[in-house]
Amino acid sequence: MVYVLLAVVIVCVVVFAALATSRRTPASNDSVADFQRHLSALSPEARRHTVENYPVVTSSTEETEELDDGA
Amino acid sequence: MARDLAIDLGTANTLVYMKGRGIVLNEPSVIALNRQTGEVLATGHEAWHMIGRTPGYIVAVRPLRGGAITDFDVTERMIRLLLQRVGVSRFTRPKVVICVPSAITEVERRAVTDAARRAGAADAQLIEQPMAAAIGAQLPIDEPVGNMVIDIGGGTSETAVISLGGIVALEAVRVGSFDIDNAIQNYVRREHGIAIGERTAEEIKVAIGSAAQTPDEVEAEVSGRDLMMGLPKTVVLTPEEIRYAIDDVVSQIVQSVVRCLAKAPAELAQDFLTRGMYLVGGGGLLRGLAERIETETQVPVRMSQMPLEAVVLGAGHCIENYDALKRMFMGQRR
Repeated sequence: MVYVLLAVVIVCVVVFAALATSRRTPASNDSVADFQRHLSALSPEARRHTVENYPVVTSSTEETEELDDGA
Repeated sequence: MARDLAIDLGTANTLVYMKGRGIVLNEPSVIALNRQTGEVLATGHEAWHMIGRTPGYIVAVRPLRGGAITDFDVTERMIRLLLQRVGVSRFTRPKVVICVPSAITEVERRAVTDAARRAGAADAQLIEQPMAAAIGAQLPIDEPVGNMVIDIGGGTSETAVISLGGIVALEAVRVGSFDIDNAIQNYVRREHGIAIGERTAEEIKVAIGSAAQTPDEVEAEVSGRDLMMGLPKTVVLTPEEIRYAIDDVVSQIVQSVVRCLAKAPAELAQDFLTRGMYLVGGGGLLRGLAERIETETQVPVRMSQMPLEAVVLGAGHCIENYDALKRMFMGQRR
C-alpha cells in the first residue's frame, strides 16, 4: 500500500515538474516566436505556393465580355 | 473530412478557394427566385443572364449591396448552395474564411458569419478585403515597408497601407463599379430620354467607359426604351459623354485614395514613391483609372497581375496557413 502511494506521489511530482518546466518560457518569447511565424507565413516564398500551384477557373468577367452584344 | 474554404463574397462576383485545390468557383453573386414560392431557380451565371429579363413570378437579385448583406435569408441560401456545389455536405463542415469590406458594421459582420454558419460552416472567420488583396497580389507585406493597395469592387472601394503584416492606414467608401453603371443609366435616361437596363449599362462601361482620355476611343450604339413614346430607340454615345457621366463616382474613388495617403505615416511616403500603389478588383480595370489616380496623387499606380482573383487568393493563403495567420482575422488581433 505504501509503495502504491509512493508511486502515485512520484508520478504527480514528475507531471507537475514537467508542466512547470514547459510554462517557464517567458510569455514575451512566445509572442516573438508567434509574430515571426506570422511574418514567415506571409513571406513571398510561402505565398508563391498558394498563388502559383493551383489553377484558376475562368473568370466570370471574361465570360461576360464574350457575351457582350456590342452595346 | 471537409476541405476548408476561403470565400470572396463580393457584391459583383463570388469566388471560392478550396484548401489544397485552389480556386474552384468563380461566378456572379446573383440568385434567381420564384417570387411566389421562394424557391431558388438559378444561381451564378445562369441567374446573371436572367437580370432584367424575367417574367413576373421570377426575380433575379444580388443579395449584397455595398459589400453588405441586404437580404439575410437569400444570402444564407446562396452560401448554402455554393458550399453544396463545392462538395460540402451535412456531415462535412469546413472552416471558412470570408473576405468582407473593412467598413462593414458589427451587425453586418455578424450577419455574414451567421449566414455562413447556418449554411454549413463549422467556423467562420472574416478578413478585410484590402488585406487579403495585398496577400494575394504578392506585395512584400512581411517587410517593414509601406505597401499600398487599392481594391475597387462592385460596391466598395478600399485603399489600405500595409506594413509588417498589419494595416497601417485604411480608407473605404461605399462606392464601386455598380455606382458607375448606375451613373451611366441615369445619364442616358436624363440626356437621351431612354431607359436602359443594368446589364446594358455595364456593357457600355466595358465597351467605351474610361476615367481619363485614352488613345483608341470609339463610339457605341445603345438601344433602350424611349421614355416618351415607349418604343425601342437607338442612340450613339461617345466616350467623352461616359467620362462626364461617371466623373462624380470616379472622383469619390480618387479622393478616398488621396485621404488614405494623407493618413499614412510620413516615414512610408518614400516607399509609395518608389514602390507605387497596386490596383486590384474588377473596378480597377476601368480604362484610364490608373492614369487618373497617378495624375492626381503623383504616385505611380500598377495593376496587380490577377486583379479579379487577388482577394480570394489572399484569403486562400490564410486558410492554407490557418494557425500561423490567425491574427489576420477580424476580431482576432491582439
